[in-house]
Amino acid sequence: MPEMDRRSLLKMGAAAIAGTVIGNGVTLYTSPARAEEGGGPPGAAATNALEIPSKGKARWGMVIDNNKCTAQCTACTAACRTENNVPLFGDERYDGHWIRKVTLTPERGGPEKHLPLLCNHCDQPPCQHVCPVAATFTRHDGIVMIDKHRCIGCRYCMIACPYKARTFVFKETSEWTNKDVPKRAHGVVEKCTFCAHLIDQGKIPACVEACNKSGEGAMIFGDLNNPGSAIVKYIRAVATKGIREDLGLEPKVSYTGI
Amino acid sequence: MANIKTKFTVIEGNSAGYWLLVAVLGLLSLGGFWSSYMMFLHGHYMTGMTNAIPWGFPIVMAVYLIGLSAGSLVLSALSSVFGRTEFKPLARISALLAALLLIGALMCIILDWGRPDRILVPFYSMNPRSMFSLNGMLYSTYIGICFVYLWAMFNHKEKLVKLLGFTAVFWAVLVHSGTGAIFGFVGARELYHSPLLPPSFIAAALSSGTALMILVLYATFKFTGRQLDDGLIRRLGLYLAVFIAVVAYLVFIENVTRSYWPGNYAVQKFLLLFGNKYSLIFWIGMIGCGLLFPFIILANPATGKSIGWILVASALVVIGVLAERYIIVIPGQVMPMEMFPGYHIAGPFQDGRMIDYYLSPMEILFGAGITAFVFFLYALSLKFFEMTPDKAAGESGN
Amino acid sequence: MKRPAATAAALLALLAAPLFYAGCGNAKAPAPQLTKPTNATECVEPAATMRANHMNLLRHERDNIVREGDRSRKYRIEGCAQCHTKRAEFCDRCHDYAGVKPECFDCHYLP
Repeated sequence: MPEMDRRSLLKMGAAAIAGTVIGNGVTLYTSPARAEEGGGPPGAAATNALEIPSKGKARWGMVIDNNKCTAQCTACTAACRTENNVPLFGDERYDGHWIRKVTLTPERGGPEKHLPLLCNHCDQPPCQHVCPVAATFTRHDGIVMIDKHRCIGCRYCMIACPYKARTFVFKETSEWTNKDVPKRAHGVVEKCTFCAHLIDQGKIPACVEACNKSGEGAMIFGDLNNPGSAIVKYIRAVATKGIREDLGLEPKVSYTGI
Repeated sequence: MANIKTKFTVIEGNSAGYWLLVAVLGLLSLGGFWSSYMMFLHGHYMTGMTNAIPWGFPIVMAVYLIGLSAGSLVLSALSSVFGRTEFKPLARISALLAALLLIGALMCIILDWGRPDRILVPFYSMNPRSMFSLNGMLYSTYIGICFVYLWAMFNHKEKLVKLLGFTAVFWAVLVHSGTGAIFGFVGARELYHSPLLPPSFIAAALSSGTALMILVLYATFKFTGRQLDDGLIRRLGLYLAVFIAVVAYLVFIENVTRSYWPGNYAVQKFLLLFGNKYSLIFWIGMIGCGLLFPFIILANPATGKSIGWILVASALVVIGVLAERYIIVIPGQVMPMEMFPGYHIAGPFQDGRMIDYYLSPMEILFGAGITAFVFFLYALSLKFFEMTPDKAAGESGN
Repeated sequence: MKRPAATAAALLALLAAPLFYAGCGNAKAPAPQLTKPTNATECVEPAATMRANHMNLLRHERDNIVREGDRSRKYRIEGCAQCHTKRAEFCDRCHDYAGVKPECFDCHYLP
């Protein structure tokens, strides 16, 4: 559906909240007030604060500007480990990774690229499709999460995920860096939650906050359903691409410059 | 009962040899349980599995045992469904083995979970889209069918036996196709994603099941001093040769399909040429032991009629199909996933390179222990139930 | 199995042994001494209800909290921590007395 159609339709929405199905069960909601502020050029990374839409209307997504992400910076990964109690054992076989920095070297030469990889929170998550006990679920705001109360640790989701976004808790950690967030007992699968506990408080994920603080500002997080949000403005202005979009999983994390 | 010539009896099972066997198998199974308890207590870092290779030897064993089970059950139904009365002597043994092997396979799967204490969760929280969840339902009904089928055979309910035999064949095919689908339906990994996996799983099930049945029949009859009809073994050997040919055909098609497309050269090079230990297991274990050598033995008129050689061929197939299961489960995870075509990727999560999988002693103990437990139950069942055909009555030794 | 009745009786006796053992002694485990919160006098439900049902309330609501993202729920394990600040002197004592080992604290922090 062309962008203009969507926007004009939204503007037509009268006093109440307007909603329109944009395909694949994704419903686009917005309030008239927000529809008015839609459009315009992408704001600077500074306008990256969360606007909390009414509950259940948001659809969180992330854009990572590859050109701003530098080689040495590990602000996002470090922040994630502290926030979510993700342990680092120093043994690459068992380390948990909710977000990790990778280096891409073009095979035919050229500059290296550095970018963080995390769960893409697919709209069609294969991990959720294969989970035998429905422990993996998609929240109303599109965040794919694991119910660790229910996970049996069969690891089928790790087989099915093409992004290697999931890790298994091979060992328990005694460290408890952030006591507000549960850690994991061994034997369940864990992955990025987009810091759902922070989103529910109206904050932004720890990695994005750390990225902003470090001055790189390479991560833009926001509501894909809100035409006025910084992320939607950015996506409309700059070409972005998800990883392995050919698989048709519709990832909600996209990158510029890959 | 009048139309049944075969008389089934219990084995006496009082000899020192029998109790020694039971004791050894029991001890081994205790070892297996101990290893799974250690995994449960301390976490899966006790095994050779890693975050990059989340499915290790227990899953290989589970798939292998399910295959043996499905093959056994189909053999068991030969006499009742297809009217091949010459296979009547093995009907009960193979149905029993089918049930026990599937129990073993389920134990492999469940004890390999990170949280086997959550065994009840799959019963109240199901996901009908998941092959695992669907298979769970198939497996449990399968075990039920096996036992009802055994009960019907014991009580000589001929019509019910025929009906259940038919259901059992259908269910065995369904169960093992489902097991193949666990891998074949996963689009993320190149070496898994293939619609040929379910049928080739069935073929491998039939070949390994037949081979195991030959060995088990021979061992059971020799051990109890019963007289075994050589013709039965030879006919099973013939079946085995046919099944091997079908497996070989499917393996050939699958690999040729993958090798033909230039985009898959890297994957196929890894599997067939440069993957070091995996290509060794592929060529020596899967192709050599599982297909080529036994087929030569069975197809050659000089050796195909000899009971000794048929036993050798069967043993080779039983080993070779284990290698095949290993080749299905492990290299698909070792091969890195192509996330960024055109780039070489390096990162902390073993990104962009082959990750070796080392079989840990813990997993070997686990696999051996569960297998031993299956045969532990089998040995005890022979003593307590009228499983074994008694051709030479009065002659039975121990 | 030559004498099934006798075997069954012996097995039953063996299995029931702990009951007899427990019944024979007069010693009763002392009731747990709980340190009550100082910042509140009432829990979210009457004490008797909480004593009997807190695990069910928590288990029931955790699905809504985790899966629906509804963090406004009344019964949350984080809610407990707002008043019950000494787990070792409250939760653990009663759990030890009742002989239950909840897994909650493997992952959730209660001071």
